[in-house]
Amino acid sequence: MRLRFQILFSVLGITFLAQAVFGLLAYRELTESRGDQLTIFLQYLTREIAERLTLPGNPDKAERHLEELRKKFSTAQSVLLIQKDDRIVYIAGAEGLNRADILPGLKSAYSDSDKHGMIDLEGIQFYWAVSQLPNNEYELIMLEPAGDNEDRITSALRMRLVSSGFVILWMAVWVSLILSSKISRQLDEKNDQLEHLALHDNLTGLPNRRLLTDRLEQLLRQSQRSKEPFALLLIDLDRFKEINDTLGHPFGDEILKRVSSRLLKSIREEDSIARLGGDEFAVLLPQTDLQGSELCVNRIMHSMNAPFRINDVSTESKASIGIALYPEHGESADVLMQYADVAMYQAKKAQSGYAVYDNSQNTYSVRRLQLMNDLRDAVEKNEIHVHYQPMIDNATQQVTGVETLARWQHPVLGNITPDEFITMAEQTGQIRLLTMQVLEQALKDCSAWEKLGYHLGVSINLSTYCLQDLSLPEEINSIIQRYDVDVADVELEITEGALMHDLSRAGKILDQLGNMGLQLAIDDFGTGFSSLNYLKNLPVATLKIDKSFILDMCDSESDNAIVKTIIELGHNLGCRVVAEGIENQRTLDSLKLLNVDTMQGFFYSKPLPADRLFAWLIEHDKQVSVSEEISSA
Amino acid sequence: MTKNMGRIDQVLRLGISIVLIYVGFVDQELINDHLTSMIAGIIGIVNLLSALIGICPLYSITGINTCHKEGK
Repeated sequence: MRLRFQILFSVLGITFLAQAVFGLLAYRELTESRGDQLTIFLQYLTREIAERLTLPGNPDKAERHLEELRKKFSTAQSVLLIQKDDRIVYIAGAEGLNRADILPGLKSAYSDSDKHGMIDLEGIQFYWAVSQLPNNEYELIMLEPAGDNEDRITSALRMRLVSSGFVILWMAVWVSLILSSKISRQLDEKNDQLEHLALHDNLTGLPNRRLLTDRLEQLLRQSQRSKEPFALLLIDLDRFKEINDTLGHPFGDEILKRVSSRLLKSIREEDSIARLGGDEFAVLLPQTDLQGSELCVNRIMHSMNAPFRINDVSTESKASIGIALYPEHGESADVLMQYADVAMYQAKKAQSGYAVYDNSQNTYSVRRLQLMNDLRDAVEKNEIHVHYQPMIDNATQQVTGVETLARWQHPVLGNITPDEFITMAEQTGQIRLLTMQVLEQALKDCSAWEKLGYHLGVSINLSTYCLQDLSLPEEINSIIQRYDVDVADVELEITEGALMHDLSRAGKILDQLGNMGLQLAIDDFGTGFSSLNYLKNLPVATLKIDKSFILDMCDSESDNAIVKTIIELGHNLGCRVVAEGIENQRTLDSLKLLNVDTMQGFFYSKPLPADRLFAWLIEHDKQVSVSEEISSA
Repeated sequence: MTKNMGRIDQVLRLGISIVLIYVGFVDQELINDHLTSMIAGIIGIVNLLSALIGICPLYSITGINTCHKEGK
């Protein structure tokens, strides 16, 4: 509104200024040109008179004609006279003037070159103009009182100025209004654009979390009044991180765009959809109960079935969907969002495509959600600690290396088992960073022990997810270089499951790692489902027998047979065989008999932090030397 | 186009139009200037038409609506 007034006043100001200048110019023009006008009039009159004089006729009539013309053109006070040789032949007007004074007065005022001008006759200002008749004997002279003319000019000018002033003012007001409305409309558009940007996702153009929350709260209020149910869906793409990492971010972005258009096609007009960030979407289904939302979910899952084909690369990405219902599950926006999130993770875990929020799993899942959030922080702040479990050589009883294990001491929830947080890290994509952190810490400790006189190998567990990442060998190499550790001392443990996932890709990466000189170990050997083919094809150096066989091997004949077979198989293939999970002397003795290469378990030591491990190493050395002395004695 | 002129606006315009048309076409002596009276008359006719249909084109351009102010 302020802008509107500013424009209005500025346009009005310019208008008044223009009007004043226009008036002044018009006035000067009118006054200065009066002499010219009189001259033109006289020239016209001379033509008229010349014609009349040459024609035979009534001289009275001719005079009347002149008189009419004079009055029509000028005022009644004007004087028209014709002179010849300083003698007045004809005169009209000139009431109140001494006729004898007119000619001498005029003579002094005009020269031959001037045709018009101003003179003072008896104290009155007159315009004068002169014109000669064609025969050159007669001169036609016109006198007009300047005062009369001025009155006429000012009255005409006043009228014109007033009326044109009104018109210009009227136009100015409208111009300023149109101008200001145009400007304000442009500003509104800009504002709308900015607002749109703030409330929408750049990539997909879908509403963002802020707008969704707003809509959710609005829908909550509406539904509270109308007592109608609604559903909130949270959608997360499976394997998206993997796609992004392996095929690149532009590819991932394109997938997100396609997903958003597929989602838009799967929902009704009144439903709203939002991208919450990353590969997470949310759908709000007003006036929808469980059945309705399941229908919608089925449509969405159906739409996600077709592979995404981008630049001749075809890839699939299924979605996991969590459903939370109002008012069944919750009556506030935060709770519904949280529960939909819980349901989504349940769906992801069960690989069921979708899950409706289940109250009975609540405590577990809310804890899980909290852990997931905290894990992200913990990994970023490097709060995951590394523990080491020693591996002992069967023949010499010397410690040959340590297995590196990640430990997380949660500030509130206490110790979190690796099974729990590693799976979470895999799901949230934190696993890579976590693995690299653990590796870095292990190599740092390894080089420290080396300086203290302990040459130990280091084993690290590699997740399935890491084996999909083509840049992994490069990264591992750079860390090894940094700590100046012998490559052959680093062993990477992978599970059989990891190989089943995508053998061609994983095989390529493992080959690369093997070529770099790293040792590869198959962890939990005997529990997977894959064939023995990979043992032949991959550069595997070590087999680690799954602890479930070791724990019961003294009581179960079949377990004993399996352990025996694996050891033999490993030796036949030229692999070192490690038995882990040794908890008592009996198991140790049987394994010694079976000629296993390396042993690991609580019987020797539980996983220890680096400083305590060092103390343990010194203690162990003492014990070994004592037993050697005893045996030699 | 929808109406954008309120009742008071219409009545005012009607009055102004009648005056303008009177000085423009009926009694030209009032303004002793031909051009001025013609302009007044034409503005009067346009204003009268817009008052009768209740739509002002300039209102539509600028987004003014005098209907609202009367709580219609």
